[in-house]
Amino acid sequence: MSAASHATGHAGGHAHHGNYLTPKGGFWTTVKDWATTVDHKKIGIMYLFAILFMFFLGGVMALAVRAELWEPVRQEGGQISGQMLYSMFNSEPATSIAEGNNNYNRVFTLHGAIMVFMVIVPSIPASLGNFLLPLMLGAKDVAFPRLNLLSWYIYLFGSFFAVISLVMGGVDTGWTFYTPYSTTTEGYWRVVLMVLGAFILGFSSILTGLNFIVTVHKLRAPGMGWFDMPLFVWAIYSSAIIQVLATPVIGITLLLLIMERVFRIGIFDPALGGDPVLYQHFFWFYSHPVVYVMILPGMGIISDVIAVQSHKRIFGYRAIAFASLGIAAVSFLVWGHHMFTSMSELAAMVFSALTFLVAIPTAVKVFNWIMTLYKGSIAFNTPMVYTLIFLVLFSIGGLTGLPLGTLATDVHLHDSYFVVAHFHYVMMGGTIMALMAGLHHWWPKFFGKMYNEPMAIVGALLVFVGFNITFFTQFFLGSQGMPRRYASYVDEFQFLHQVSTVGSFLLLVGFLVHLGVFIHSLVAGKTAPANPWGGLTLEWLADSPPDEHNFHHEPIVKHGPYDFDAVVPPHWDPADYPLPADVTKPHNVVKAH
Amino acid sequence: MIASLMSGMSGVLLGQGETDLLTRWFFRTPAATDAGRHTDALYIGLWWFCVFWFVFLMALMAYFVVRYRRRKGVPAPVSASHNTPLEIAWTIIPTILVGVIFFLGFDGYMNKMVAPGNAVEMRITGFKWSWKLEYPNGAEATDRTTTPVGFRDVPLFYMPAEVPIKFRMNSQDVMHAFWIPDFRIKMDLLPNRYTSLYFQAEAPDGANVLPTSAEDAAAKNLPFNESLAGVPYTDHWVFCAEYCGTEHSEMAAVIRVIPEDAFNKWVATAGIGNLEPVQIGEIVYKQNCQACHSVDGGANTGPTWKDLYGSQRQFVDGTSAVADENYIRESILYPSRQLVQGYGNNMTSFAGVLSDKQIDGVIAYMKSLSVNAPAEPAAGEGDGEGAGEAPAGTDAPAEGGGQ
Amino acid sequence: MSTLDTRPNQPAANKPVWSRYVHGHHWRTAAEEFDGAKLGFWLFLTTEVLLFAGIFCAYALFRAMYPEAWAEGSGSLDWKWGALNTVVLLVSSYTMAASIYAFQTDQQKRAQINLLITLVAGFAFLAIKFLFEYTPKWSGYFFVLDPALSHYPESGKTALGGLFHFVEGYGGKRPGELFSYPFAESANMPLWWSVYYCGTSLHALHVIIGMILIARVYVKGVKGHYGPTYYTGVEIAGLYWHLVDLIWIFLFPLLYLIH
Ligand code: HEA
Ligand code: HEA
Ligand code: CUA
Ligand SMILES: [Cu+2]
Repeated sequence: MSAASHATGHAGGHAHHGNYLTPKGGFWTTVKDWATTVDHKKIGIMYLFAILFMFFLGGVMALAVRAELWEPVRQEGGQISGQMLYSMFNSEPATSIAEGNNNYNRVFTLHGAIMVFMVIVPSIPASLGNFLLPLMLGAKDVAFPRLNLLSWYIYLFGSFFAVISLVMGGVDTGWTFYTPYSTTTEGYWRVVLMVLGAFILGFSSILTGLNFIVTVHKLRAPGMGWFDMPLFVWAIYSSAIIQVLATPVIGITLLLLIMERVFRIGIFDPALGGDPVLYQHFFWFYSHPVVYVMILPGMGIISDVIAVQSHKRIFGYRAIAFASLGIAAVSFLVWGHHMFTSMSELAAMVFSALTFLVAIPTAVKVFNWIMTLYKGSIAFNTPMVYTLIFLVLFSIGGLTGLPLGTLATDVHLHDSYFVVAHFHYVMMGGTIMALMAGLHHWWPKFFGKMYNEPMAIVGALLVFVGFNITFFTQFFLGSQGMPRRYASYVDEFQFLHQVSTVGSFLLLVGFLVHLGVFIHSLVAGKTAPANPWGGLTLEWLADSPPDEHNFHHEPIVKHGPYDFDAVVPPHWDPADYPLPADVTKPHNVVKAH
Repeated sequence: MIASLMSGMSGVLLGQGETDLLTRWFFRTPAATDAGRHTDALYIGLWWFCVFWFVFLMALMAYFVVRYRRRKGVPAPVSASHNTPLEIAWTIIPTILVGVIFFLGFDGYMNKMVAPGNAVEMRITGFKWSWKLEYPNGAEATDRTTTPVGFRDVPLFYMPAEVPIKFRMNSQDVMHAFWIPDFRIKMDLLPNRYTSLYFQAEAPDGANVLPTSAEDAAAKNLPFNESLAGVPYTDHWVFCAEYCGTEHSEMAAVIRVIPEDAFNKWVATAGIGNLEPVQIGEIVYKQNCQACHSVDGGANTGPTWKDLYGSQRQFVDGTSAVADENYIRESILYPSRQLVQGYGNNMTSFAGVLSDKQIDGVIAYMKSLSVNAPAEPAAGEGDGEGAGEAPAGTDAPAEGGGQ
Repeated sequence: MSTLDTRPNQPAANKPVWSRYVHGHHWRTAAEEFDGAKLGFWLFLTTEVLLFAGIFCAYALFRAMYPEAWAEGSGSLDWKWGALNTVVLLVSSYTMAASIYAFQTDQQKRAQINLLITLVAGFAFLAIKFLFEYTPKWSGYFFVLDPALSHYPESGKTALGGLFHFVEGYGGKRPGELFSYPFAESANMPLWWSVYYCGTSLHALHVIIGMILIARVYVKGVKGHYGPTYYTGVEIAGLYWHLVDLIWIFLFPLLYLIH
């Protein structure tokens, strides 16, 4: 990353001969083209829409959960009150509270399972990652394009199983499938199908991760060393490592769970000498690392967006890159913090200490991001607004991880709404906000259209406010004693629950605004330039939307990804500010003063 | 921030915790145990720690965003892209700080988890979807609350104040977790091993007093229990915190802390007063006798109880007798006086360990196991004896009930 | 670092298929494509090892919890069958490697024969597993050729036209709730059999997958797809087959030898 000259590659002024979105023919030809495509961009776009749809589905479930919690359930004079969920989805009146409880349990399970397995784990890597990784590396495609298509079909296949299970009546195990409950609860095939769905989705995740690792190792453009890669690539790379190393463990776990359920082999069944706590160890050995699979790509987006939108070399590039790897490594050692209330004091001590260790590289990243803003030229647009929202919400989410990692307080807070608030702040406030930042940042690249900036900012603010109303209250609910996964609760919690529910519907409004903005952009958006924000990484060298083969010539990298103080971004009109502050030699750079 | 941590720490060390605003926000009421107040102080210390970092970083962020906002024609000033001393500092300092937090947390945790040797041991069993409590004397808690959670009333557990208590817990089916928010403690119940939970509740402050008379009780719409008349108490919620299915959210209980002497008086009588003798006997059997005596005719260290009552016993000294009530009573209190042929002198005396009521229970239980027992109207079932003493509002135990 | 022979291609006419191989358009060279495929496949093998790691963890945990069940369990396995299967797999690993070498040096016939031997060894492994180990333990039916059969008195009950002979009181060694072996001494035998069946059948599944890969490679080999400049498919099938071997090398002593 030495002081650089300029990026070569696209000479500009090419005759326009269609891009990857240009239909190949009539309707059915196009459908067939998309269904059999091995183009990473098309696959990424298909993932994006599938994930947004699943997010919508999971969001509807979330709203049902919040609606149900508007009132504590009560039997009053033979009348059942507070069964909002029931009346939302069934026309018939509730016949018993137990039935209503079962409904609630299914809804929050599906909410959690959809959001985790079908939305947030694949979200950024499979959609933005697939689209951008080869572009950022200057490659024509990922290492194994056909494998990539296979991953996509495996994702569909796994989701299909989960949806069948849902249609058959859903499962009520919680997204964690704890034994022996999950092996004994009613709905034999539904549980098997759901677990099978998660198992299959795991394969999709493994193959995607594997593909990305090889791509990063082998397909970097000439001149691009490891430390010339955009930080988004570093992040995707780190999370791919976790995907590859952790997912097989959930694979065998879910397989054994299915065996347990179908044949009663007894490995997790205390009645046959098995150990249910073993299941928990297996489960969290995967599911803790996977929370970093969720957040690392988000952090990568933030690193990129914050640098580009403030036209500033990222502060502490190597520290951020190594922090990603550090997080990936330590993440494998802390799974026990989900089980402090069922393990020995010694084990609890060790896991608590290691948990604090994992907070450090994250803290380093936050410091670096904020230092990047220092002396930048900060644009105020939707990607940046979402980046700031990310910093606020993720800091809260991460910092509240500390009382959870602290033994004395976790013994109180475990399985309470405090945990629910924590993980929504990191997953929704972290990953989903980063996804929104990235989506707006690269939207012009994806579709070649700009979006309505003011409306998008309105949507972002609605989401921000709604989110905090929904989930900040839950910290208080939790520490005051409200357990999670409760269909009904004691009266003293009602006020805070109602505030939270109001917030969740504000969230809906916010996302509907975004939906409107996106649709409007696709239908009537202004044509986007190749490099609307003045980024220096290679994807901005490609057309918007990119050509079928990404680049017209193979790009050669001659400068670092964030050398804004020395290089004028490609396609960037010098009339638009900002220009490099201190430009010495390069021939195609116009002096600012 | 150091100051905030110090204040948190000093709070932890001194065990303070007045009902300040933060305590009310976070917990409604201060914790009702010493160790719990330690947790409160630590939590509030952590809160200030988080607030410090959050406000510091966010203020910095907001300042930069405004100060360095993009302006047309104004280039971004050149600035360093890294600064090694600064980066080392912001790695080391948080590491030390979280190290301190870890230590405080571990200390408070050990405080809460490790019961002193003199702790009174009680048994908690969790099942879908309720709790069962057995006192040290074998008595089972049978009272229930009058205010329902969800659609049910829930078990009511009397607990002595200022006595260290250790629950030995397990589950009969799936996993559950016993959470007493007011004590800031929680522990999972597993089906295949015991876990324990320790606390020492503080004395009730006297704000609540159990009804002094039947009229008083009626006026307050509370059950009346004579042995507890006028006793001060504090109630604490118990919630099941590990998801366990349909009535997970109804799987609550109330812990009612009363002064130790009142508790002792009550537990000696009322705790088992509501049970049928046979049930008492079965509890005593499971707690004390099961290791050596079978009830199904199986061989063991001692004779089986199956068909023992009313049978002819052959002793090692050559004599024999019919096993009647007096014989059994004597065998329990002075086991070595007469040894049945084929068995060694292995049993210790239960004199002073079992109360008369419990011995009567054992006898009733043995009768229920024997074909030699005189045909009574359904061995001790529903003869209405104890019913009059049961507190009003007491329901039948709702095992898996409520559907 | 690449072992791929990258000498320039001879004129295309009447040359074998392998020498006309064109690498994927997104790779810069065939050598890079080959290295990429290998790296990818190594990663995949890592995930396979981790998949089995779960079984090994369960094995270790329950072994520590119920040593007597584990002793009794491995006592009721016949190490001779296990050892024979180990030899079978080791031989097949050798022939697999030999066939890769043969492709690299363009000895097509030799490569094909070695592949065939590998395939046959795979079948032999499965046959031994199913006929001599699973079937008697599960059902009490012994394959007629099983030497152990002579140790037991004739029950007269046979199946599949006399191919299988029933032995009283031998079967029922099944996992978990299916367990019905009447003479078990340890209460936790069902758990041992769960671990045994899960571990070995997952492994057997991998043997089958490996054989499918090898069969595919064989067919393509016969068509002349592989040679010194292109043998990625064989290399990958070979790596997979070695992994299958390696896992068995761990399973065998853990299950059969350690008491
Ligand atoms: C995106 C996902 C994500 C992320 C990134 C995290 C990050 C962290 N999580 Fe979280 N967590 C979840 C998702 C996530 N978590 C989920 C889904 C659950 C519940 C699962 C279930 O039970 O259903 C959970 C539950 C959970 C528990 C178990 C609670 C319980 O059930 O009892 C614990 C306990 O230790 C914990 C801790 C942490 C810690 C210490 C971090 C750290 O990595 C956080 C580090 C971040 C920061 C520290 C903030 C940023 C830094 C600064 C602002 C600088 C200043 C900071 C310092 C000086 C320290 N998490
Ligand atoms: C990615 C993860 C994720 C996300 C985003 C969310 C989002 C939300 N969650 Fe979720 N939640 C989980 C993961 C997630 N959750 C998990 C893992 C659990 C644990 C489950 C268990 O215990 O087993 C859980 C549990 C959980 C509970 C606790 C239930 C209980 O314990 O009893 C609650 C309660 O309030 C809740 C509420 C919400 C709400 C209101 C949202 C809202 O933020 C949702 C807002 C979204 C919408 C309203 C959809 C709008 C979308 C569109 C209109 C489509 C268009 C979109 C675009 C254009 C972008 N969640
Ligand atoms: Cu019992 Cu939840
Ligand atoms: Cu975790």
